[in-house]
Amino acid sequence: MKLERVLPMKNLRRKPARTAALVLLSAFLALSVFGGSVMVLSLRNGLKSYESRLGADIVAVPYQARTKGSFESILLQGIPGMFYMDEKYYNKICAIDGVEAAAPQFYLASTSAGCCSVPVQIIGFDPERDFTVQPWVRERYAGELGDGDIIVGSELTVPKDGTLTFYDTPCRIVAQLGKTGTGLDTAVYTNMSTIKAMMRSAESLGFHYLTDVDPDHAVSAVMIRVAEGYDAEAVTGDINVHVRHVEASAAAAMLSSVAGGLRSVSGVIVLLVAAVWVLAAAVLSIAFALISHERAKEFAVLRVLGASRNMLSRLLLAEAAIVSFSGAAIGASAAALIVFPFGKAISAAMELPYLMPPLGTVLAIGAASLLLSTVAGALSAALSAWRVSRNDAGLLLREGA
Amino acid sequence: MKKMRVGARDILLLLIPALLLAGILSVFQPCSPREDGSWMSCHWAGRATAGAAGAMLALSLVRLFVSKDAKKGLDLALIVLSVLAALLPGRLISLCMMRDMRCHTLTAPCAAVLSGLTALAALVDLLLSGGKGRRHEA
Amino acid sequence: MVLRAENVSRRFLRQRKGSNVFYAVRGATLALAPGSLTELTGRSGSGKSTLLNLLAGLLEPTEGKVFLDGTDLYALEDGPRSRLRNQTLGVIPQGQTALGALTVLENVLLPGLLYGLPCPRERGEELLDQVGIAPLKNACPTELSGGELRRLAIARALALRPGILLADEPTGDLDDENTRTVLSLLRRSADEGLAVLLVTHEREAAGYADRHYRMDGGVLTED
Repeated sequence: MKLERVLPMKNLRRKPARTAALVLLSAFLALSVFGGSVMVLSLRNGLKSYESRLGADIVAVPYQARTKGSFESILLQGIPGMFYMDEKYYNKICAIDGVEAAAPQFYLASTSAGCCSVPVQIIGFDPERDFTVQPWVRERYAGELGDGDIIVGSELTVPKDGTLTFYDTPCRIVAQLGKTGTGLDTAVYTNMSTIKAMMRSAESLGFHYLTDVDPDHAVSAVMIRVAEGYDAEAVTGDINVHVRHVEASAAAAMLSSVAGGLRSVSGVIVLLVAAVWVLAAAVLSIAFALISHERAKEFAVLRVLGASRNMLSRLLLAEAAIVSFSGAAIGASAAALIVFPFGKAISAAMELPYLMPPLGTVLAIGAASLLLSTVAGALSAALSAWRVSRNDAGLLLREGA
Repeated sequence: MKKMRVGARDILLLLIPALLLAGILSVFQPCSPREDGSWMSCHWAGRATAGAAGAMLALSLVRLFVSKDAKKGLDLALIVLSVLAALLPGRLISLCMMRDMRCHTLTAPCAAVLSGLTALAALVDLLLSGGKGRRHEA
Repeated sequence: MVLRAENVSRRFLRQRKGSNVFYAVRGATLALAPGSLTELTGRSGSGKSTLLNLLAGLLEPTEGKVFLDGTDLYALEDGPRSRLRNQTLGVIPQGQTALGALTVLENVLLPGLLYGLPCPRERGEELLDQVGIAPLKNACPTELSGGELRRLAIARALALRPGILLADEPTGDLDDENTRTVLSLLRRSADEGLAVLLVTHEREAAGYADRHYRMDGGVLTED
């Protein structure tokens, strides 16, 4: 039994309310830095994934897409959108100088898909012309996508029988995609002929989504790859000038608006964490200064009994370390209980791509937060510990007598 | 008769199930009904979880008034009920198909976290109150 | 074991206006020999406690030296000097000095905890029995009276079987009966071979002491 192991614990037990308050304060240190950094990293990770999943240089949608649910809200929030234009616009886009490849996509939103009050986004693509969807379909599914086959996003629950029915069209789920952290995680992918069959079925069920376009000759969006040597911005401008009723956006511009949102959210998080740290460090230092002042006489008694100056510092530091370590452990666990189970809720609230780093990384951040908060807590007592060791026991005892 | 002592563990065991019950019924409730007014299965999962939480709360209340040995029995019952409450949304009763819906993002994690904490608190109480009486010192 | 002060002085700067230097202790020479009880009297503020702190290795003298047997106390670093104090000096400070976070028995055993050389529990209980507060061993210091606390401090000072005992007003604010108990305890310690220094106001103490010193304005004289 050593004094440094016994006395700090007894001192802490003696004042349970104060100890609890200090532990709670240290818990905020770990909670804020762990939670904050996981959120910032998830946002960055999400942006990367968004960038790679977009896969096109330019996206062109009908002008009305602005009002009927934008392409961005499909991507970011998974809000289904339905907007259509005649295939002739697709052909016009293909004719623009600098367009190397153009892949049409056809969007449909399910009605309550057997389960949910919120419709599911169904995306039809043409395997012949597509270059944005298939690269990541390949990660999970190597086969051909036949008629009636669908691939679902990572955030859809696959029913036991492996089929989903949209507009009376039974579909076979052949694969589930990896998580992207974007709105596409709740989407369903299929080929053009399947989605057109669904569309016809929807018409016969009384859903008239298309009023002025022939469904067989309609597209919702065109994903465009720009030929080498051409500037995406310039080609985007060309499309907007030469193809009426179509709005083209350069992917870089879409990404930079997301990146801007990410920067401001991250900025707020960093600011909050910094504020918590500054406040907590200040309060902890004051608390330990008060504790050491209050115990000045006790420290003097220990000096009289033979404690060295260093021992007194160690006693106070040990007390701070116990408080900050237990606080940090509680804080880090609390953060884990928030960021893991409620990650999806956070991501939904952010309306930004949000993709948690791998578990190992998150655990490493947790361990680092624990360490950092413990050290910070102990350091907040450092000045008091130094002062305690400078006090003159003889004089103090006379004061206290 | 011994004086009734309400300790930190007793309060936690009351507070957490109460939070779970209140949460499931308010901020963490599952998805809203479909447009035609019909409910999805996650609604019933939420109801069942709330029921389990209510039962947990009732047991925690009873815990305050019974002998030490009966308390241990109730702790065990609380652990079993917590496991049930954690499994109800998603495992025993299916939730919505889209995992970004409320029932997946809020209801199920809330049930898992809070019933996990209840089970933990009950387990700690069971372990600390087990064996030799601990009030002979202090 | 002999504790010897050779011509020690301690100068202080007054914290008032002007650079007013004053001597709390001026050129004191004193030796504490085993088996004898030395009494030190004087008015308050005469420098008695300062001399005791100088002897205990707690306050560095501005002039002169303190020797414990052959060792110059203040030639040692704080660490070794503290350890030496822990193991060879029993100090009974002024006032109430029990640690509130510990029980009575734990307070008595405290000196043994400092350097991981635990004082056995039985020794602590035996000491508490000697000073007559054994039934209070598991009590909190706050539950003790002034006299009981003083006796606790004596038991604590004796815990590690020191060679020298320095007691600063151990009978202050005690009633007659308690005063006699404490004084006979110190006498018994001296008879058992300790070198005891008793700083006191108490007239009654004279009867227990072998040698008598008086402190006046920082100057030490033997009666």
